[in-house]
Amino acid sequence: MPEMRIIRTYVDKPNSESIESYTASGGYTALPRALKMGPLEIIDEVKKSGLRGRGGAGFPTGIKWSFVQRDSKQPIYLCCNADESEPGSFKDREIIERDPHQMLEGIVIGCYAINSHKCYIYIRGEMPKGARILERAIRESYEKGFLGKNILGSGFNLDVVLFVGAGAYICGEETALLESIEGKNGEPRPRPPFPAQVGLFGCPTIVNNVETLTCVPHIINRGAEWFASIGTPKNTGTKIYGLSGSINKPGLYELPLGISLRELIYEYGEGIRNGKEVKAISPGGGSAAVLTAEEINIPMDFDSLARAGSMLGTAGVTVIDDATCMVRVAQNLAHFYRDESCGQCVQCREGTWWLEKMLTRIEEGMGRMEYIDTLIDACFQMKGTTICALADGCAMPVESIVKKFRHEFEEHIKLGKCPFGNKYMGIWDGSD
Amino acid sequence: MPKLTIDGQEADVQDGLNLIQAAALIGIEIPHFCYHPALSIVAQCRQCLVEIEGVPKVMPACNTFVRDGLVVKTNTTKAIKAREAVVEFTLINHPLDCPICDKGGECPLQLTAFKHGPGYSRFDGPEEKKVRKKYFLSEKILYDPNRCIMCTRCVRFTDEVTQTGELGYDGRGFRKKIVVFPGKNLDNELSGNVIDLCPVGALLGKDTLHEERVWYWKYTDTICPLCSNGCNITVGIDPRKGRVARVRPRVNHEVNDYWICDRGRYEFKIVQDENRLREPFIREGEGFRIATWDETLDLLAAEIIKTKNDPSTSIAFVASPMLTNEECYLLKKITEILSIEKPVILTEPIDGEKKFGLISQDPYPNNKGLRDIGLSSDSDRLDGVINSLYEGKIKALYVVGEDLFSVVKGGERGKLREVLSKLSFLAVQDFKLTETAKLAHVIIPGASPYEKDGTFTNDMGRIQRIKKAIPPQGSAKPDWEILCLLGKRFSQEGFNYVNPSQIMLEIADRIPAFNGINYEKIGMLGINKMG
Repeated sequence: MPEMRIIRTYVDKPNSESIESYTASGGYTALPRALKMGPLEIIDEVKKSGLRGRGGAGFPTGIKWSFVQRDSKQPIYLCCNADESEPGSFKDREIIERDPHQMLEGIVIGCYAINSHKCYIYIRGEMPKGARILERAIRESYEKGFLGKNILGSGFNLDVVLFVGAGAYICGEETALLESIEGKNGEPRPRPPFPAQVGLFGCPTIVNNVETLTCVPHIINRGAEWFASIGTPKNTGTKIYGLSGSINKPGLYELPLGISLRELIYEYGEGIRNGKEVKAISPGGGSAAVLTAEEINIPMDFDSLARAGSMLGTAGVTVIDDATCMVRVAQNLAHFYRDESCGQCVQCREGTWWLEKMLTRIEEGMGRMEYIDTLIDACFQMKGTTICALADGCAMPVESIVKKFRHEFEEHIKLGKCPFGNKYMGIWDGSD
Repeated sequence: MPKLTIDGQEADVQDGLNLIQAAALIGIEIPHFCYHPALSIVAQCRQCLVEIEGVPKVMPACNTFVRDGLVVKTNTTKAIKAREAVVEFTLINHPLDCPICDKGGECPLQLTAFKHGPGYSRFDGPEEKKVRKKYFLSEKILYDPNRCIMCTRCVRFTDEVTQTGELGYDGRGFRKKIVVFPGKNLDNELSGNVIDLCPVGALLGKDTLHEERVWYWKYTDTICPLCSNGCNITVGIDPRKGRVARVRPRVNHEVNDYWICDRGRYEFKIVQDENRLREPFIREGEGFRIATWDETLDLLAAEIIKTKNDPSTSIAFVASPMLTNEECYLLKKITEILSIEKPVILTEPIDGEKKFGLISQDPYPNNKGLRDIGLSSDSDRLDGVINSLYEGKIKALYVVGEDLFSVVKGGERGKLREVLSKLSFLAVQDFKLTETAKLAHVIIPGASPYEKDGTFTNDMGRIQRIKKAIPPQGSAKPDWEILCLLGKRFSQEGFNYVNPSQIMLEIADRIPAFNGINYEKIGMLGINKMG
């Protein structure tokens, strides 16, 4: 069964990143159409399409756009969040490297809709290739008059600034991203106030994910009804799923929201590598609670996964086979979040550190039975008590692993070693 | 006025308050570390989590502002568990070296752990706690990154209050630590305040390192005597040593807010220690001999009467703006009884913009008060005294609290020395051995401003009480007591005061600038002069 390619239609074409290729394949046709519509009309269209944010939270984009006070005396900013660093997630990178003009067209339409004349694209520091391509794409757009002053004779002006991050996972969090652009430490801000009121440089700001903005030209071109007809009623459109882990055919697959996880893994991913069985699946990037093999029939959409106690997140699906030690998985995740915690909130700074310590001890065979309940309780207290969701992002997968694979933890503790024979590879040597 | 409910108690509170402030108004304490009323809100210590009706998550009280109909619950199981968890998390990497920590006994983390903590920790493996080296942030301030709980109060202080931006943090997550910004030094005049702001023992004063055992100490609320701003301070005394051990700011929004300058914080040591006079001295040949109080004061009184009765000579009294209003009044009263010229002040008040709003350029605490009492330093008279000295018109001098050598210009010091040594009589009353005192015939040991009661009037006209924190050294006496003893030698009436409070009642009665003032009205925070 083929993919349902909307965003990824031309990614395999040679030179797909050039503006010639994009315009030849029907690019920049949504923009003149949008500029003839009223901004509010665009927001209405996006609302009707049911487009939900593709960055992880799944907040309806049209509603987000309508939060901005359009007649604000301050400038309004749009920030495009291209700081894709969620473990197991690599969808935005392809858009940036293979079809950046699609995203730029979405940015212009988005800015026009929210009355913004300046957009910052915050790209992850570890994507130098993407940054180079994007820089060229922005230059080309300026040359062709899709960016800059009086775009396509409409009187609408827009400047796009490419901002390269310095390599911090936390800067993908929208307020940390704003702090980073302002030249400060990338640390999330307490809310309220929300960015739509007080955002970048104290001005109203909307932060959208790359994939979200890339959907916008298609909605304008083909109509909200068409977009809403894809997927399920409350989870409309297609989603780019990233398949990785123990799978025969890893990669990106653009499919309607709501496709079953089994179909994704066995039809598109062509099953598990080396004839192994599925043990667990992380359905939405590292921060999502893992699912067990029994939960494999779940529809991959925002609401179904939330009901199952997990989340769609960035739809980066990582498949874990039955030869993998789940304690090791949890320990590896905790290690990542411990390193990436910005260090503001104590639950996150100390909690991730503590989880990692306990999990390492269990993995090395030095754990004690009471660690298991302590892990669950510590995870519970890390969820929903901090400024941003990074602590939740660590606690959710770890808690789900401990709860769903408790027997593995008990086995580690009883045996006094890892039954999978994994050798612990400690990374932090105890120094700063 | 929004009306909200906290733990079932209804409260009408002022708009714009956050829940920590609102709860405090009705007597409910919400623990917190990073929140400070003078600093911006960062909501990152998470210690103030409370439950709010209709909100699924626990919310930080510091970043939740009062609004009508808000129902706040600080005492639900969910809120209590959340705060207990925060204490447990906070203590995971805190060294728990309270027995050797200077903050011990007055540490907000210690108190919060005791009151709001779970009482135990499930953290297993204290030997795995991260250990990092201590380092100095400035000459006076030592930083212990292990104790630090990253509330960033100190960083926000240098960003927002002094706006000098010396401090920042380095690293991310558990590696984070407070550092001095590259190319800067933590040397602003308010920098010592970060020690007080620190809610744990991470920022330590080098001066009192390993000395602070705060439960032994006694505390006295007084006024800083080191400039004309009159910052409110609390003086900590180590009774085992009988000495002032440290000075901390006392909140007074009319004067110094939450802060004091580093001079006020550290220079009490100089006042306390340098060249202190402990006994009365009478000149004998080239040197001095220790004398009794009666002998000294009798000699002083006799010399004053002698000079007064001799028409060919004259005597001048010099009052220092280091004296309290009461002492100055007594000195003036003595001149009135003797019907001689009233005392003169040799220094002018210095106006000008105060650095950080509290560091005045006028080094004396009571220039304003002395003028209110009725003394003046009108320039004729000022030059007059010194010129009269040079011209030999003044033969005798009684100097209270002033060092003449610090008043005249450098080039004139030789000349002054010559003149002073030719005087027929020079009496100096001071708490330290000044250059002037070295030339005196009689030295009367007074008390430093930390050792006596009284009032100062600061440069904004605010009358504030200073209080005796430690007894005067040796057999020295507070200056008001000395002046009473001297006064009694001239008049049986009018010098029988038990304490400066009685003197103030008389001042209030006689001097319009102090009309209606008494110590009760002055209170802890001072009172602005009427009219």
